[in-house]
Amino acid sequence: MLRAVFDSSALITCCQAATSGKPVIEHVLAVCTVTIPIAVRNEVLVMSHQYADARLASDLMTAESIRVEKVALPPGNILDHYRLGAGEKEAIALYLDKSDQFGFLVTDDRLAYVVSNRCAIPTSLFLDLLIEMVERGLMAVDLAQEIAEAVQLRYAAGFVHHTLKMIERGDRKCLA
Amino acid sequence: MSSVSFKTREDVLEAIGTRFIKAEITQPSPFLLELVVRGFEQKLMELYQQFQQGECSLGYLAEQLGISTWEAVHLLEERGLRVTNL
Repeated sequence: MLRAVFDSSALITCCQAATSGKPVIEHVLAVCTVTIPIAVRNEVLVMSHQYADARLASDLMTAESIRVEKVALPPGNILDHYRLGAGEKEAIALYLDKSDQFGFLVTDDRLAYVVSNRCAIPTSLFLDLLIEMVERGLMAVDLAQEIAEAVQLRYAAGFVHHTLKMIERGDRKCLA
Repeated sequence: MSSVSFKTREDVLEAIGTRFIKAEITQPSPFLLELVVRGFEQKLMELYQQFQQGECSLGYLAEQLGISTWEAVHLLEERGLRVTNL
């Protein structure tokens, strides 16, 4: 079982897309513990009456399938100097606060990805999390490929093509 | 209507704010609504450009528009815009 902190961008990706008769988030939760910070949870709760994807996330939080953790950001912290939202900042702070509990921070936002990496956090795009799941034998190749195709509209073409090749070949260094 | 010298952006904001308060607007005119909508769309596009260039995050874009990240994603999708900057 993988253990990851998700920010809103990655959570929304997983809650919007579906494949094999299930929302992608349910495929993810079968092999990965997903934890979100309070700021991400609050947005889900506010939006759960308006959007089906937010309602799905809300239901999964209620069932404690998605875990919620509180984290305190010190005033004047370095993250405030970046143009990040509260959810992204709290996701980074949560990982740093409880790094022994998590293996990855998952984000599909470029700035959050860069800042998280600068904080020495093992940071994954959602597509990279899929590859990780396949590499660890937690997810079947076919399913990972289906999920990558289900979320492909969110990414520039190269990301999905590269992901499919890495999953197919079982090699992250493949160039052909 | 008094004339106002709009030298700076702050002058414009102050003048508009003053008129909103004086008029106690509960039913904004179509003109006023159009102004607000255009202002919102303009701000959205400015932030979207910055987001696409990786200068700000999706969460930051949403906060600056006074909406949630989920609303921002749906709003961008409705306009046919990509919702990640990858």
